[in-house]
Amino acid sequence: MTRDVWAEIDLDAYRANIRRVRAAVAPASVMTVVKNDAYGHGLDRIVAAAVDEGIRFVGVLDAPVGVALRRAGLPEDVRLFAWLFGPQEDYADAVANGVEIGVSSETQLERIVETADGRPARIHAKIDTGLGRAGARPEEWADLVAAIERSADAGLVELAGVWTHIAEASDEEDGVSIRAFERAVAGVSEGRRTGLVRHLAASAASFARDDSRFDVVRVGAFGYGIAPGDGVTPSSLGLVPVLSLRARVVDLDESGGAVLSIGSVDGLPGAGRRLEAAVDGRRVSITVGLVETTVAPEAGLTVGDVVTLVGREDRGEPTLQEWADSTGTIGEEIAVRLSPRIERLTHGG
Amino acid sequence: MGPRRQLQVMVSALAENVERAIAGGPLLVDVTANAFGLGLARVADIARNTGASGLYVANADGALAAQATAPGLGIFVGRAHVGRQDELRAAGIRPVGQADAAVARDAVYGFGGRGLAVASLHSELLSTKSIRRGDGVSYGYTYRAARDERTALVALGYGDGVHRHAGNRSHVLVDGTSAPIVGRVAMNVFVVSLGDRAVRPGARVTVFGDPACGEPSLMDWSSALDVEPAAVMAGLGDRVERISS
Repeated sequence: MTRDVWAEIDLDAYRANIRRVRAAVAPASVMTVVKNDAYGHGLDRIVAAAVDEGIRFVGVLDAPVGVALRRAGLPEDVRLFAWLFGPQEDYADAVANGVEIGVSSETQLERIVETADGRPARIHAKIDTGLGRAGARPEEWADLVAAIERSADAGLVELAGVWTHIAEASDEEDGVSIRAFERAVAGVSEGRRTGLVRHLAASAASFARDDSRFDVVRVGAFGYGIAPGDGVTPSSLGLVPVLSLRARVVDLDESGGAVLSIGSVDGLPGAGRRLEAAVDGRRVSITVGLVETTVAPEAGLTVGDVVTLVGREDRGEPTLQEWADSTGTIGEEIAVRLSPRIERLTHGG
Repeated sequence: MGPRRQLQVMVSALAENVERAIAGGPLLVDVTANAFGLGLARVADIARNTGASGLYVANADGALAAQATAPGLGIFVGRAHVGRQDELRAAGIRPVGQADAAVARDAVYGFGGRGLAVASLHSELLSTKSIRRGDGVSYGYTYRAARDERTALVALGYGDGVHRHAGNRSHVLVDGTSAPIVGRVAMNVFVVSLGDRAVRPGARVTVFGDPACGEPSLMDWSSALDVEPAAVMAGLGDRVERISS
């Protein structure tokens, strides 16, 4: 247990965000993304809250996470999706536990069939619509789809979805990717398109454009109340930050600065940075150090005062997005970098 | 299973660094932040075996965790809330001001270019791809290929401790040859440019390691990112497997 630094996870806020997202993207449905320990918010509590809110699709990234969720009793009607695999992956556990699998290449398809212990894997074929990471390039797509359809005809796999990631570089370029995705879907035989889950959008696109939503949107950041940044705040999107990071003043330094037992080794943005924090809604200036952070003496804090490093706008606190904007990154990076050693306390249900 | 992500901790180099530092006088080994990500139990064993005077942790919560992990070693704490002194005393943890030994960090871990390199971070290529002149890579298309080239996906992202801003800025070794990280680092993956090289999936990727073996140093990596080496090492995620070598 950590007593001088802790994070509070507000599950009521998470539920409210999920409701907000579902309303915004309907009739598309929501796959809630819980990779990286639910963006540092704690996997189990976030999945439980999401399922209780009616979410029936959970994106886990890593297959073992999905397997563990299923083995811990996640109902069979909650679908699981994983999409990061090693070149020598063994897919048996994932397939046996109903974890659906993102497939980028014929090589990977062969590996799935070889290692799935004879069970047909439910797969989602990935097209690279410009991001240049995983996924078959358009010139490889027809061959991948043909190979998948042959395997499906033989009962070796089940084609459950087609998907992609987009770059969010500009509206125009996202439009190019969306059209490339539509062409890829049209490349699947007509008889196999019924019931196919098409998914392209993550948080930002899911709110910004209705032509990105297709059947399912994959929402991580917005569920946690993390806004995209560049001045776009959580409240402007109707979202509430779920995580608040707090520390209490453990000592005063020789110049009267209030010392907090958290620094860049615990995941705060690089040492030497000046950022804002809040005490009872009042902004104070902080300097991040390697193992400690110091609140400016002008704040007049005393030992035991509680400082909120990141939290919620409606309490006058900086958000992850505000810190991200002032350090040149995105809120997700700050959230997932927060050390797992920092205890997460749950509020709400 | 899953992609390989490993931090190899060179136990003999750590031990040699501690021994060299002890030659200058009694020493507390700084194990703040789970021994800066190397694993407190592992570093505590080295401290014990090399005759260090004890362990140092900068804060009370960390000192109590160290006491639970490494019983039998003297543990000294940096700055602690006055209200926690009874709790710390009951656990046998003393203020560092009472130690007759200096706290060693950089010399032990090789931070700041001092001492031997103590750890190397490795992963593997997941897949490769041929992209064309003008194609963008990763979020925001911050990289555009100047010509047709090969790229590869690596299973490390900012969620594993590779900073998001390493894209278009830092290099890694792929199968022993330097390759630039292109485009933004994502939460779980980054992309490297291989130029014209044909490299197979599964090829070894080294982010930093032992310069004596031709690997880029932690200092090279951290200074390119303008991040302290201690924060780089301590910031490596839980999915990165720590193994002693």
